[in-house]
Amino acid sequence: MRNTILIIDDVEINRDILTNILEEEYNIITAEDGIKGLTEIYKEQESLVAILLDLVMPRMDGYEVLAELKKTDIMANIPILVISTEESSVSEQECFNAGVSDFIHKPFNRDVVKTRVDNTVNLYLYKRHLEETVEMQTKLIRERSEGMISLLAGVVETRDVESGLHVKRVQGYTRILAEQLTKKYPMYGLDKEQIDRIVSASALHDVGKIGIPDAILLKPERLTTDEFEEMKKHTIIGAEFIKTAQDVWDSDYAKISYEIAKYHHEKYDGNGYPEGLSGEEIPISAQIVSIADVYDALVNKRCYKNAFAKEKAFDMILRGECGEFNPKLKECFIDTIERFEELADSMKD
Amino acid sequence: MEIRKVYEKLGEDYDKILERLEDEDWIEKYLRQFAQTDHWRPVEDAVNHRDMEACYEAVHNLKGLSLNMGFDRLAACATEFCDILKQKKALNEVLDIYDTTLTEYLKVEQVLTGL
Repeated sequence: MRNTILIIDDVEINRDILTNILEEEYNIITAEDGIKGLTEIYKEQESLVAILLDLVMPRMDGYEVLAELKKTDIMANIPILVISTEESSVSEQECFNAGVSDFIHKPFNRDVVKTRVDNTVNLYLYKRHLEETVEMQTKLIRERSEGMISLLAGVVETRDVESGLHVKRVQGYTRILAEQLTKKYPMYGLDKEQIDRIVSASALHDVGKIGIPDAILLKPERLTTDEFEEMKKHTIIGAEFIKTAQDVWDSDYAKISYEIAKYHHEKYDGNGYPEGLSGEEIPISAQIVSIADVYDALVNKRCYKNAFAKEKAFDMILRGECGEFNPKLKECFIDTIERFEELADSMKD
Repeated sequence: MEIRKVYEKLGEDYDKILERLEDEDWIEKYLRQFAQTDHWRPVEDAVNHRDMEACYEAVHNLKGLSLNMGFDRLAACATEFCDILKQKKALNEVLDIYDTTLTEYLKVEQVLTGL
């Protein structure tokens, strides 16, 4: 189908001249006032590639049409050229401020009108093509990043370090906490996409454990001090591992995966590892995954310990028995404990 | 009557509009279209109703249309009329320009009857 242009002008001859100039190239629809024009815009917005808008019209004038369109995102997608008899640069500036792309001045000149409309439309179509390309590429990179995370999480799982369900449960708890945090404390700036990335990247929190000897990793008793020091290195190993691959995946995923792998054992009071960061120095992604990971470790059996009752695990986290957490996150944990428990019950090892 | 003659009779430059629109048939079509409508009626109605806003809209339309049609004398009067109306002057202050513009309009109307 040919690209469509809408001409909104209350004078029939003006509409006819513009139609004659443009109809060879475009499908033309016309409206004789602002109200009818708006109706056509809403109806035809998928096929419109430009709107030619007169300013002085009965019922609803061009300025009112622009004001209405400003309430929508239509002007970001369809360029508007104002049909103008105004010589005043003030009104032109007003129009530009309102989001207008260009002007067509009376008296109409066939070549000038055609060129201006063509240029604006081509620019717009090119912009739309670029946006679509970027969107497609972004989607591809996101899919690849998620594929990479699944692959690495699968490697950790096959080494029998943790069950696959642990990774899935940590992802679930991470989502619950992150969504509650953003609802209660929007200042952390976690939007839906960022939460999706954190949830996805949380699968890699223990990826560094593939670099820890089995004798330590799978030891059924308590670790010695030296062994524990060795075990702590999984944070650094994981982070370095992710860092070496950072060029091949989306930079946001790489950054968040790195933060989570490295800092998910840091504590809010500075008593964690590997760097002893405290408070908000610890990336929020790692803080969230930290609670999720600790809760899951508590309520499930591990080679070195039995499972704690869920109520007990809840108390232990709030009392700081597993290290100190961000008070805001603890609030969110309290708010959502029922959902944590439901998830724990629905995905048992 | 030949289209060029219409413009000559009006004292306007036919070549200028032909250069802009590049199509004699279009120009003839628009002239006939122009002749079919009483473009002064909205101005007169607005003045009779003392509705200066409607008067501005009507004169503004006439200005744009005259520019497009190559009626530069009428367009010049309409432009002056618009400028005065923009200053929100009282009705008695626009009567002179009203008459001047009407005279020009009637001239156009008169010539176009010969089409």
